[in-house]
Amino acid sequence: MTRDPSSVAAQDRSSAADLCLQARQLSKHFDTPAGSVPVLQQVDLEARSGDALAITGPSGSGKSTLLHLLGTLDQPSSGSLLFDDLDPFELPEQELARFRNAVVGFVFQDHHLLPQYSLLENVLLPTLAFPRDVEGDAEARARQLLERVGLSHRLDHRPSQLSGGERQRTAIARALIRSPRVLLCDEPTGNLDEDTADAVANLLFELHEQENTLLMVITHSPELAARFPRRLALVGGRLEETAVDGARGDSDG
Amino acid sequence: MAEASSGSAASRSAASKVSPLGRSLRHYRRRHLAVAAGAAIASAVLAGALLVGDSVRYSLQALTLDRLGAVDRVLAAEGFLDEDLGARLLAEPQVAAAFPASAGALVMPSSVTAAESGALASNVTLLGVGDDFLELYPLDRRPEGLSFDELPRELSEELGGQRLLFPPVVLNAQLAAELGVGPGDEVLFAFTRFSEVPRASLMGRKGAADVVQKVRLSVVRVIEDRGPGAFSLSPHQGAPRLAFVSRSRLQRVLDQRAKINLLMLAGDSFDAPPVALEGGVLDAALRRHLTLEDLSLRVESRLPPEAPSSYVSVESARFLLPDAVREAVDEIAEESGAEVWPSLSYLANRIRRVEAAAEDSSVPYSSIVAVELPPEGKGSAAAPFGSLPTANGPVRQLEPGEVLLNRWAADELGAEIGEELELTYFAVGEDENLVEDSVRLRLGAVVELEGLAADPALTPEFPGISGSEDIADWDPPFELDLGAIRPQDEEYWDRYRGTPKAYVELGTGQELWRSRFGALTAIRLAPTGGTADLEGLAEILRKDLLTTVDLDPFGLSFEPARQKGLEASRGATDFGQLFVAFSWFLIVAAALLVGLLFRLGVEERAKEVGLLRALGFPARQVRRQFLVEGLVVATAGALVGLIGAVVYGWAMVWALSTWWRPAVGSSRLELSVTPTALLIGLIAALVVVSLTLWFAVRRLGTVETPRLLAGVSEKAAGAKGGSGAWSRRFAVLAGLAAFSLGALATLQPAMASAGLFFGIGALVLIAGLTSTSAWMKGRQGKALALRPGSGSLFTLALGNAARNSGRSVLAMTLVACASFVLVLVASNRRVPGGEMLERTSGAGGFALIATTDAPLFQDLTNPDDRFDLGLRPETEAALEGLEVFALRRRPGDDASCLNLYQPEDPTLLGVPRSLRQRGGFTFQAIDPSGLKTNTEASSQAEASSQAIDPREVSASGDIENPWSLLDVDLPRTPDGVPVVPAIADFETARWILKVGIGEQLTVEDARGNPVHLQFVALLSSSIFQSEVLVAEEALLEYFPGVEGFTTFLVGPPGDGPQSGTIGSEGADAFSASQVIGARLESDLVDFGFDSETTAQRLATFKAVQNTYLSTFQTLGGLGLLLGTLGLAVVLLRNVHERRGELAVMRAFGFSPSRLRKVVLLENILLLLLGLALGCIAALLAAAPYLLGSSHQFPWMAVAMTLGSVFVVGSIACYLATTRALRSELVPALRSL
Repeated sequence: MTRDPSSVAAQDRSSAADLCLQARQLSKHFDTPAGSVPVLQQVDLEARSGDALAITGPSGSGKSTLLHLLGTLDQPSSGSLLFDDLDPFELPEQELARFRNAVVGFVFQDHHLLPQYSLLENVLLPTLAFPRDVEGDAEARARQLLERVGLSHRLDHRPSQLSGGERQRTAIARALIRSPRVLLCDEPTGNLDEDTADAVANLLFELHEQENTLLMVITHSPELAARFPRRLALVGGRLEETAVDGARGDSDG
Repeated sequence: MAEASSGSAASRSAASKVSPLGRSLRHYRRRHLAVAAGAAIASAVLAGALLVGDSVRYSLQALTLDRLGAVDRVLAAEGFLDEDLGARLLAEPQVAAAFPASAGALVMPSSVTAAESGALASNVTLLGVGDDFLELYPLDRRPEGLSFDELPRELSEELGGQRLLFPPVVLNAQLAAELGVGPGDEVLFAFTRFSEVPRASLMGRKGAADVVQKVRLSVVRVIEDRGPGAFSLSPHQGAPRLAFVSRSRLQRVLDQRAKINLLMLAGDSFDAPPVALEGGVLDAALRRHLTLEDLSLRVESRLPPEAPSSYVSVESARFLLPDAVREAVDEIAEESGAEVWPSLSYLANRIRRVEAAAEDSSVPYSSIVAVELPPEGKGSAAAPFGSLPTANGPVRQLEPGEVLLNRWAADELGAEIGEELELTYFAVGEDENLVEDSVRLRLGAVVELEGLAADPALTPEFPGISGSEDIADWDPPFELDLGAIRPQDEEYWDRYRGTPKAYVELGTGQELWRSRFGALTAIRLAPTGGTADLEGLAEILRKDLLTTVDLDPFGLSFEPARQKGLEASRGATDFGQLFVAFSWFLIVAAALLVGLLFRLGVEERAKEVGLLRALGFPARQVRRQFLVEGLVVATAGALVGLIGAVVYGWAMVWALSTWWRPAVGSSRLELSVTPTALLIGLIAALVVVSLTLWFAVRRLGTVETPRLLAGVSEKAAGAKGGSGAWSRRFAVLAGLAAFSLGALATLQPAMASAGLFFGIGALVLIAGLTSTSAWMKGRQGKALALRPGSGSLFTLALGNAARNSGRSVLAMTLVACASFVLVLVASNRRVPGGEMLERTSGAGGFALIATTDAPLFQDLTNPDDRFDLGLRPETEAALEGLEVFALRRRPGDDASCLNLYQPEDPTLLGVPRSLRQRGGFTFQAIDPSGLKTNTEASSQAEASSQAIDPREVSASGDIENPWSLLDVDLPRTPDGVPVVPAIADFETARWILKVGIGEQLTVEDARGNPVHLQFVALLSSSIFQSEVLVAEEALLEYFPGVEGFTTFLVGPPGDGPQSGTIGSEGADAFSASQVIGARLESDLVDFGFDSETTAQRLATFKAVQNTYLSTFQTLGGLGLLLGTLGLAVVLLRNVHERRGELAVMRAFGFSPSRLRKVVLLENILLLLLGLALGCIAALLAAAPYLLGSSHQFPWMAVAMTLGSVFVVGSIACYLATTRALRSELVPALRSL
């Protein structure tokens, strides 16, 4: 099965031909001097564009590991991961990077903004990986995204001059600059106070709707999870579907 | 399409907006500053080292130009030339265009004694010059107000103005200082008296008074050692010892009016490169202006009635005609169709009938001529030289082994045809003494004393004999037995003068009496067209001889002195390479520091790497980005480092002309900053730094992105290949290899070479480092076994050191390697001691080595000769029973490490057979192929070449005497160039002459033809580092002009211990030898006898090596300090990373001082481990030296270096820890 990875990315974002993410029997264990430690066991998951999922679970349950696998940052020990028909792990390293660049957007608990760059530059950073793949005016989009996250007045500020919430909003803008089909967030509000966390969550949902992404959020905040129509829990390395609501979380929920 | 292009344009603008490089550089500037500093050090050290090389070259070149002034070509004649030869040459437009000026000089190698103090200076050049010599130098180099044409006869006003007793002489500062004399003092010069007749021939005068001429002079002025005051044609950086007198004065002293022996042609500028002149132009011009007298040749035409026939004779004032003349005459004769009749005259001390009773009938002192029968000619030119008449017509045949007597001699002896006669004559012995020899020949015919046979001119002029009234008035150079001369002999002399009394066949005569100076004494030529052409033939000969004869044997060819000097000034030793080698540790330390700092910087930015990877940047691109960043920083640093290079170069040059002066023997070094050196240094530094940077970012790609995002820059433990499995395997392998080599060295002592021990040391070092690495990696996955108790602090420290094993091992490696090299180098330092008196030592069992300026023809072991030399009784007594060897020396360039110039034409020493048979010395290498061709000892040689490694042969095994290799007949090269076996010192061959065993060095023989010297054996650390050794016979064959002996080896007094250990007796032997040396110096002062003990000479050579070692140690020590700084950086980083962890421990109640102890202990552990590993490995590697007897291990210096490293390292640790632990507790806790 060899498909051009950019074909997944190149599909018309507005079309109804949604992307389908399928994880089958994903397992992951880590080798340590003390032996092999299983983290994920035969996780199955299917999600489409427009879906919004929250994955909860206690500390050490493997939430981040799952996110890293789904974001192709890490390889599963067994099982398969398909984006439509494409198995990203079969791609050579360079193409895998290109796939990640085009298809997946990350928001980390720790914002990971680079201190040497301004906000605008931080947002533009992903467009530099494969400049030729970038369509349209990247800078205009960056400004637009920053405006949408409410930071248009601080374009030239450095991350160190921002508050925690502002940093995380910048990180969200950065995650969306390449219009990814999948937006993966690892505890996006974990380091934020309640009000700021709410604002960031609202922003996420808002942008998710506008961009029609597959939004997947890992959190151990029940409040945040409750706002997602589809909720899953990682228990003992296994993923369980806990709720599928028809509705999506409200901004005031 | 349009969209796509607009898209990429937009992204370009985005890219320009986000300029990662500029931002990173600015943001991380403090971190980058450290990296740049490392790169700066690397480029400063590299370019600086190259600058040292260029400076030495530049200084040597400047020195050469300073000494030569405008001198370009020189003509150094063995005899004397007309003073106006230069003017005549410059009258030729082509020559004048190239060389606007010339100067003539008289050059006499001399030795000088200060009249008052008796201080002696040998190897002095006495120059008779005029003001034309001064004009070859720039105005600012000419001593003010000095005129050699008119040297004042009184001192200057400031010095009192007193009148000088003796003719004035000007000394250069070097000579004046060595003699301890100044203006007004008297000095006594002794130099070799000029002798046209070779001293080593029958007619040469060899008595002490004949060899040495002395002149007493008054010093009128001392001039600086620069410009004319440093004039020298030999490439050596040491200031020459010069004395100047006016040319006309020296001409009078030498009795050579209007003569010179050195002609200098000058170019038109003082700093110009050598003048390029089409080959042959100068040579042709020279031939046009030379005279036959310059070649010591006489061409005379003679006619009847004075002569028996019309002929032209060619004879030489040197008595013997060089072979080159014979060749030229033959050529001319062939062209002009003249008949040639060569002859060789000799003197028979006695001719007697073998069957007669002892002395009753013998004829004393007879001239004999060896000839072929005169050519018969044809037609009108029949018998052009006449013929040897007998009672029965001309002699028709002259067989080898036959002798003809003239009527007078035959009657005197009463000899009959067919009878055996004995001819007794002087032969020149191996040591150039005359020894009586005799030959028995059959009387073939009796020649009547008429016609050709009555021609006294058949015997050329014997110097000291020919002009005498009576035989009793003869003043021959040998002892005359006046008692043997009878009245009838005087009568014969009165009547027939030197008319030969006997004739032998030419071949027979040449076999008996030819010498290396020639095989003929006269050549007669007769025109085939009758007497009318006689003058024409003489004219042709006078002209054509000068254009045809090979001038090289006469020393009459212009040498490109400027070109040779400048070529030699490129230097034998490339100090650039040397200092790069000496500085390598600094360079490596700087590079490692760069790598370490950069890697720390990259690790600190692990999250950035992780993010970029998560954003879809390919690993390669991330690596490249970091690499480019590093390179920009390093380039900037390296560029700044070039300023440091100039400083480093200056410091090294300064150190070389002060502290490390023994290495260069000159304080006249100047820094020369050349763009090439800077550029090469810069590029080299960048290459080194780029490699380290690449190494530092290389591993980034292998770390999993999630770990990077978490800020971890090392691979997960437990991943494959981790936990030190490879390190452990490597350690085991290295350890096993070291052990087996050690076992080999113990079980097979013959195999225990220095190389083997070095291998053991290096393997132990590797094993130590890798096992430490393996151990640390192994610890990472294990529990700390931390229990309350006394050892817990230590356990904690151990665990901490192992925490970041890569860094710890890197820092430790740096320290271990540095101490390994430093200790190893220090162990190489040696001083020669009493063991020098052993025969297998570098001194070969000799206590003294001496040289003379004037050759000695006397044997110092022969009482008669000692009497002739006028040795004092106490000197005689001291010499009694001593081993003394006299060697011939062909002067040339000093080939030892004491000479910075590249020797083009090394000094050659002829090793006499007796010394070759005696053997001795130790050889570093002998050529096994040379052994195989040695027919004398082939079976032995084959056995030995199988049993021992040819490269590591010790002469202590009595398998073979490598000196006999000098006797090997080596085949000529296909193009006919002779190959002569030679021996040199290993160091000289390797570093200065740059030849190995079995390789060849080409020199020019006295005739200017190439001779290959093939190195058949190389001596180990010997006293012969300044010269190349060949067999005496070979030296004389190719350099017949070498006469007498100028180098002496004297054995130790007493029983002359040849083996066994010598401790304090060795020192006694040396001081006793010094006394003998001093006595000989004062007794043979006229010869310039200059002795030193072999220990002194070796110490002089060793001083150079030891200085190099000091240099290396100093720079290596600096590198080690830099390495220690690297260690401190690692520590700072570790403490910084762990400040959260340390804060937690503080929060739990650990006191800061206790924590500091943990951290200090951990780092001191690393430091100590590194130092100990390096030292142990180095001591193992140096075991052969340390166990040997002549080592002088500088324990103190090494301990100081290593100690200071330990102290600096500990202080750095302390400061870093204190600083880290002083930080605020709460923010530190947050950083966890």
